[in-house]
Amino acid sequence: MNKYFNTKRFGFLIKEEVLTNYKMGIYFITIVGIYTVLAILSFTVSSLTDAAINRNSINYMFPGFLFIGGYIFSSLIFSDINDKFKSSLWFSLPASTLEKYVVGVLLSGLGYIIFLNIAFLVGSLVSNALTQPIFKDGMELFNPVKLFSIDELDSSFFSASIIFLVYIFTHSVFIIGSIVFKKAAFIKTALASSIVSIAYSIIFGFLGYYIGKLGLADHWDIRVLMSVERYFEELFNSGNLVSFLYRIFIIPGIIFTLFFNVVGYIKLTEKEVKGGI
Amino acid sequence: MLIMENVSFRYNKKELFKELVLELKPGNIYGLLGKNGAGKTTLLKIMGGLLFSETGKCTFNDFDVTKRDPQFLEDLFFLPEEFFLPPVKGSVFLNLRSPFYPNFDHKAFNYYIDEFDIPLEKSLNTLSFGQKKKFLLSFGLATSTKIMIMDEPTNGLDIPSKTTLRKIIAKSMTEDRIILISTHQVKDVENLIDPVIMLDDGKVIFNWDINSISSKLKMGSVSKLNGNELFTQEVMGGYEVVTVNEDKEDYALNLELLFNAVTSNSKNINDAIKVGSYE
Repeated sequence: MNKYFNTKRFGFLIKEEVLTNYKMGIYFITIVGIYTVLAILSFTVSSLTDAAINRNSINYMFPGFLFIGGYIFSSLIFSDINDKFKSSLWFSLPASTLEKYVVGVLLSGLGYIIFLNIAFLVGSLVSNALTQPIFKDGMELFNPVKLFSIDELDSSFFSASIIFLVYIFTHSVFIIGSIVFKKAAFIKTALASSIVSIAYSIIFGFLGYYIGKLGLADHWDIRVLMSVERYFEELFNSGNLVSFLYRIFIIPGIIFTLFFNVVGYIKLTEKEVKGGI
Repeated sequence: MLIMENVSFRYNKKELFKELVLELKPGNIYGLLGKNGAGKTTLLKIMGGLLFSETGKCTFNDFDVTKRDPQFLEDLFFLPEEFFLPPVKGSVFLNLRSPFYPNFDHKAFNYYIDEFDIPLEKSLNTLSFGQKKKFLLSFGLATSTKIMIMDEPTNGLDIPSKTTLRKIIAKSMTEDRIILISTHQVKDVENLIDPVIMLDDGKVIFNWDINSISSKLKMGSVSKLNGNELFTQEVMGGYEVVTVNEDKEDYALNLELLFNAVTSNSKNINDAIKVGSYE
């Protein structure tokens, strides 16, 4: 039996993680509830004030739920390892650290996307069933592909998948937060990420400023910037936006997420059950 | 076999263990006794790969426990003093967790659950702390792991349950299994543990099997002291004493008295047992 990854053990782990995660039911009901309440409210306001209503408007909350909800969920995915009542049983469960880590990444990434799509679909169905008899109108059935379709893009599926890819690429930062921080992992990770981003901006800002100020004889710095700008302009105007997005976004995204997941895995292997002598 | 070689560990700046050496052999129910704060839980966590020692090594059947290899974890069940059970039925927990243990004995589990009278179709979060503990104890013993580590297993159990626990632990014992019970309630594990390990101030101050102890030491009550006692403690109507067993008869073990004797002067007690014994 492979000591790092075994599909049978991995299957047991996913099943165990999903079926004992009682909070998922609460999240699901909350999302469907918020969706339905807002839908009923918006139709009531619209009928009372004769204001025009975009039947699709509530579905635009989806990115908010995806990113904020998903980052909070990712920040909690390994919370058991920092809980004195849960950590011993979590670490001594017979599965490799890699299997446990991958299950966490899958559930908080792809699992959350599927979960949220189903919750929005159910939300639109429930609110439709409630608003149709009263207002003779209801929410459109939730469809992420339709929601995020961008005319300029050849494929509406691709344009919808971009938003999910951004989430998949970035949620690994919050997974590290859930491993490292014992309490308030979401807030601490968001704060830490902001500080790091600001620090990078300051460093690169100063670098750019001083390079420009140096005023090198032939202004090579300006030429580099202009050629980069021209490259993106040509790529954008070539009509192949998909290829453009792939180059500037997907490849760096994969490198970004790989780096953070490797760091997350190493942090998990180093984690100990502290407290109590 | 579990081997700890020169294990050192510190909590922040406080040194807890310094070059600790310990071996646990299969076929024994070890009792790890010590006062509060002696380092029992830390020692158990190091053995279970939950804490990493600063120096030295801890291996179980040649597995470095700090690697947390699944093959090692399949042979380990760690019962913490405090734990959380998910709000699912006992039967669901059983179906979800038992597949991780290749030698899980369902028949034995049902027997232990019956003995403890735990309802399997009730959600685990609705059970009392004692019932939860009995459920997890039953599960752990049924995993048939080669090493089972229990931290204060009798805490929260009522008197009949403590008796049942002693009975089922003895029943679950096999020649290739190590059971390690850590407790400060020495009476709870009397007549069950053998050998006895005592920990004080981060050191193993006592590590003897019951046969060596009862053949070398005599424990009992006297009304007057004669000055030859290794340890005495005043009780109502006289004294409880530990003396050298010169009769060469095996005497009943009073674990609480022995514990007090060892923690007050371990050298005297160890020297008395060492005469003619193999450590």
